[in-house]
Amino acid sequence: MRNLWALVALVHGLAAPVSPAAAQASAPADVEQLKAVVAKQAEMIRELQERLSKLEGASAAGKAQSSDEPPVPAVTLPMPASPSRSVGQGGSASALPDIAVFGNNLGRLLAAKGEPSRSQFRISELELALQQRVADGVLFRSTLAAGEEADFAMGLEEGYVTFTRLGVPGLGGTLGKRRLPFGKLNPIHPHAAPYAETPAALRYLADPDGLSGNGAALNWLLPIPSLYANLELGAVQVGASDAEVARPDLTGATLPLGLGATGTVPMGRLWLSKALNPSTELEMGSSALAGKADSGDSVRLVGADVTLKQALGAFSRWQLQGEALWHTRRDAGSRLSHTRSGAYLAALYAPDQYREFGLRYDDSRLPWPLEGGERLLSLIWSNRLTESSLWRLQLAHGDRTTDALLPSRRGLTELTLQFVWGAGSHSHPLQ
Amino acid sequence: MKTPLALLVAAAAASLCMSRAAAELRIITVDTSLADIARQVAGDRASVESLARPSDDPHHVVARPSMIVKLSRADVFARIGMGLDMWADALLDRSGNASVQPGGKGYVDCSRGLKALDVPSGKIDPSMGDLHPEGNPHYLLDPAQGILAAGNIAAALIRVDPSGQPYYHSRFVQFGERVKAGLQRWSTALKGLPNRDVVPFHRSWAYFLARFGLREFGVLEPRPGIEPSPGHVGALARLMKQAGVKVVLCESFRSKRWPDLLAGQCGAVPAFVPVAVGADPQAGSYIAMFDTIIERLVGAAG
Repeated sequence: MRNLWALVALVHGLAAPVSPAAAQASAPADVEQLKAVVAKQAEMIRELQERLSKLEGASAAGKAQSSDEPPVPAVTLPMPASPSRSVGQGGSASALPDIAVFGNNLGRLLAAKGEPSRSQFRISELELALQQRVADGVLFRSTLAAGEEADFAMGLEEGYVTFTRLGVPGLGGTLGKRRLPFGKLNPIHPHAAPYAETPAALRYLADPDGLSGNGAALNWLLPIPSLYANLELGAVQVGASDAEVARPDLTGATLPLGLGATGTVPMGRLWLSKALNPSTELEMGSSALAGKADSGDSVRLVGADVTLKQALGAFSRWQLQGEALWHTRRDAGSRLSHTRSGAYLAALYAPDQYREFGLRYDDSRLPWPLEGGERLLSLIWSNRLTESSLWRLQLAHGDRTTDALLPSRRGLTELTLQFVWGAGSHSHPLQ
Repeated sequence: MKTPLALLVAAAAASLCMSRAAAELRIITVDTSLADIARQVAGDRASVESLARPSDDPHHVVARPSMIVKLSRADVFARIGMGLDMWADALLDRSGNASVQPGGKGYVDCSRGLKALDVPSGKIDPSMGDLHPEGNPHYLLDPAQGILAAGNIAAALIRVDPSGQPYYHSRFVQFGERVKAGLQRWSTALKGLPNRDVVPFHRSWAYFLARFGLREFGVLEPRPGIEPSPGHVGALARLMKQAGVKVVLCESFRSKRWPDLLAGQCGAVPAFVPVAVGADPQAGSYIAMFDTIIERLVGAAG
């Protein structure tokens, strides 16, 4: 209809200046000129009428969808000279890094008498995570954490940059403080781990709060077709764990749980993975680091891990995962070596995107010279509320035997409730 | 000591050589729909592989180390973008392949140039569900946006392999014409629907509905990514019954539990449709996938 009015206006507009001119014309030359103009205008009108008929026909054919239908993108190539980057489609631009906050609430609904957290449900840790690309091939991640064990004083849990372009294909690097890539579970933050309680082997032999170090490492994706083989080598500064227990010799001295080394230590990890089929993957890894304790003792920690995971549907999947750790301490005085080991084996099954069920067996001794250990069987039930929030129950039963200052009991039963909440954009390194 | 060192040097040399000895281009895409579009454009000048399986939800693909191997050897990496495939970022970081990193000549965000729908305004938070700040990322469910994705992939192929420009351009134009022909066919098939309202499981269908003049009457998920509750389903069923809405539109990778429950309560028919190429035996290509979607949608609408 709009086209029709345009046509009327056009004809009227064209006719208006001509008619007075024609009225004043008297010479034959003028008559001929006027005839030519009229013929030309008649031809234009015919063409416009044809276009109008076509437009009206097309409009009638596609009437059901023409008014609100989005335009079909033109079949023309975008400029190939400019590589595309991920940029906001509709939001306003921002130079801020991705910011996320996570809270990890833990409660011991059932616990042995004497356990300080018995029958309590409280925030255990708050994390503020920042991450952003700072240059092509350079990404920084940092996590500031306030934990219950340090009276919620904010401290740097992680602050590092990763380099993905170091000249050689597959070669990358890391610089800064982070949770060390020692095994599968240690690099994962507590809010992202599939358990409310960290396996005993990691708590006692690596570090109760996660083994972290400050330094540099190179990782190299070995050029082996169809096999993921990543070798990581580095040197990091580690500190003794804050969690200490009294030595059994009653001298009043204390000994940190976990690795026990301080200062700069070399570390390495070889991580292999093979897709058995499009849905199943088998991963194996070995990790090692060695250093010196304040006492002059030599300390070495070696780990091996295996993970088999299979995706059954879009959301349903199962996973079998096990890790074993060997902690060796060589006494500086007697020059005798003492090795203590620990392991866990876990099976996890997620029937959909909201729920996950797990069964885990823990068996670990404490690092020398502490005696005793822990042997527990846990049932785990996780229920996801949003992408970053969930609640989880972990029911553990077994023995915890030690002569150090840990709640010691045979046949203990513990029920831990965890509520994790999170907000903001955040991604984790692959594990 | 000399032997391990020599092995490392040999491996480094092999690593450098392997990156240059590729006989044909390798394209890695995040999902199978993009893989099919890439195949249509690249023809026999490239091999194409998808990271996700046809049965995966593109939001929730479990990133696996074997995917890193594929990315490390890729010449072109095509992603959906808009926050839908953030799981791929951890893989890119580890791949050590500069060409397919953001800003690299082989990196393709296929949403480039898209006029996004459902872009949230104001403050958003997790209580609203899993919202994407950049807008609804399910643009590939509008077949016309397949042309946009194909154009972005073709542009990357020309950057990586300039000598193939006439070939890629020609195949891109052919693909565009096939999609346009399909749009005519699908529009005609949907023209006769007695009720243009549908209820999707997830807000994946905004672009599809806009393209074909259909309306989202309600959504089975109370908020994006949040599990439906019996109360929400009951309330929605009552409204659907009053309005005579007959179709519950659901991606075939989802559980049938909630769509069946809703449909059972209001006399509607659930249409379980493939949303990725290969998710259904009939959905062997991007265009065949829409033939299947439209056929099932029309079938459910009666």
